[in-house]
Amino acid sequence: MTTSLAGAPLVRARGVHKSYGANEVLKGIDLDVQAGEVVVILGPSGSGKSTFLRCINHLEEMDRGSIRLGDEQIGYELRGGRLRKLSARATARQRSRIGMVFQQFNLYPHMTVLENIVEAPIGIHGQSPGEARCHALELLTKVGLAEKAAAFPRQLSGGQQQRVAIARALAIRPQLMLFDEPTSALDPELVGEVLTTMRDLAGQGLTMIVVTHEIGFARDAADRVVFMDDGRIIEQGKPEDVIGNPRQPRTRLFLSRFIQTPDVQPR
Amino acid sequence: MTAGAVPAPPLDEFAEAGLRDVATARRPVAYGRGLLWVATLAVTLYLGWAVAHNKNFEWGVVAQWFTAPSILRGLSVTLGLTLVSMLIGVALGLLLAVARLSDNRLPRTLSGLYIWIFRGTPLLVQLIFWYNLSLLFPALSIGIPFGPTLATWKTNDLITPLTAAFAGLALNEAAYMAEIIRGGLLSVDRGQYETAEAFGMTRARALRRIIIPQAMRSIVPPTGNQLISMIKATSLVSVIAMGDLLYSVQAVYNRTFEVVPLLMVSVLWYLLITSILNAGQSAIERYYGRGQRSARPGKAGAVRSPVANVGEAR
Repeated sequence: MTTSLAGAPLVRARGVHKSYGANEVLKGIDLDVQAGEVVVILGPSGSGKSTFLRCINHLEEMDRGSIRLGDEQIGYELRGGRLRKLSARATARQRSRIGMVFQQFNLYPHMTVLENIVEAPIGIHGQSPGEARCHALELLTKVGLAEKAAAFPRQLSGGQQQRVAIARALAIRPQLMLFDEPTSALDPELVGEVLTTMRDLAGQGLTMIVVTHEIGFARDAADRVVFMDDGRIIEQGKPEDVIGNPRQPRTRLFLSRFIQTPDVQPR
Repeated sequence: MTAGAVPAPPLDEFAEAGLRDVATARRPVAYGRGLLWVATLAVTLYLGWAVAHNKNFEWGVVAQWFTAPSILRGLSVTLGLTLVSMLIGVALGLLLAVARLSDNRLPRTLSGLYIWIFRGTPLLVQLIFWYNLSLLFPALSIGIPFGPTLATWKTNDLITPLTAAFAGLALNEAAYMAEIIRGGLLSVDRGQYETAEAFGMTRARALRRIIIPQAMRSIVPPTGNQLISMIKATSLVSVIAMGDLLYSVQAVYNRTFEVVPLLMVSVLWYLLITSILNAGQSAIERYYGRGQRSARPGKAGAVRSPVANVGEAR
């Protein structure tokens, strides 16, 4: 398991490049994320935010650069002074402490809510079924869906499904949580319940990297806001600075489109 | 979230507004449909009566042979061949399908080659080929290609009608099942593969726990087809002297010349087995369809088939 040295960042990305054919999506990303920090990545569609997020747990393979999580790089191993690509099996083991929440929820449709949550803890982390179930119910209570444990994902609303997906990611006791546009596939009136759940998590010292379009969430839940455009980080800093007083014209332009829309306020 | 049942306003309230509550609408009486039912029933009954009373079917002979020991022995061969060949076919087909979808070119090519050969040649030819393998290779051995040999068998000791039948049916079936299973695996949403990967599942585990259970929904119906084809395809093994159901029936009518009643015996058995399999298939489909039901309460099979109202269309 990875452990971060005291003071060293949990995630350290340097010079991350990624192209799809001739289309360069990431043009050298440098980013450090401290343990316990909540980082929100904002930026227009196609700016490479999701791709960068997926490079962290090696769902996407980057072309150049390095991302370290604790003392290892997902998908690679340092041996004899050389970096070697790991087998799919070894990569799977490395990934097992990173929780991920997807835009389309991606719950397992053939399993009940409870089965969805205990799948990885029992199957991958070797927890006993009793222990896993107990923890799962605790998490379901936390996201306010304890009474839905026996339901199938189909029977839930989008917002409920996403809250289950968050509980499922938390069940593996992740050292890092990745959120890939968790509210983008939701009807507007369902966004609030998911953001509330995420705000609760942000307040509990979990390390989170969140790719989103929810400026309101960034403003009041993020420790740091990172603004990406065209494969680069343009601006980053405290939310009140980046959102309240952006220095870059492109950040200002992007944010101006959200200013009129009232953000979902925390309850 | 949704409001409970709202009490309907009194009828005169609708009437006042010049409106009519649809709940009070009467359905038109479908005379045409009723007539169609009556006509169909009459024709069916008449056909049944005609077959039952036709002396040429010799129902007495059918009854006499239906459970004769030689027929039952043939039946057990047919069932045994079907079951074992199908099991081997599905297992091998799964491996071939996974190999066909591999990122690695070698398994992908080998699997493609296998499917090309076994799907591209007639089953009858394959059966005869396996049965006569000793003509091509008098001895079979295990060893390192072009190197030392570790073990050798005479082909005629290995290939009996039974093993030739298993080899022919199972290897052929595997090629078809491979394509059915591959189609099923491809039908599962990309996001499911990705999620399993992100949670640190190995490929094998992701397939077993996440992908295959979802793929089953589209694998089961064509597999039921394959199974039923297989039951009937086993009758081909009579060419290599295997005594299956059809072979036993033929053996009897070659002696007694009661061709039609004995063929009816085999037809009834085939229909009986197929009906049982259909019931089994429905049960399996229901099992893998769980989680697909809609949220509407109280309706177990609420997923309405897209063609459900074809018959009702006017």
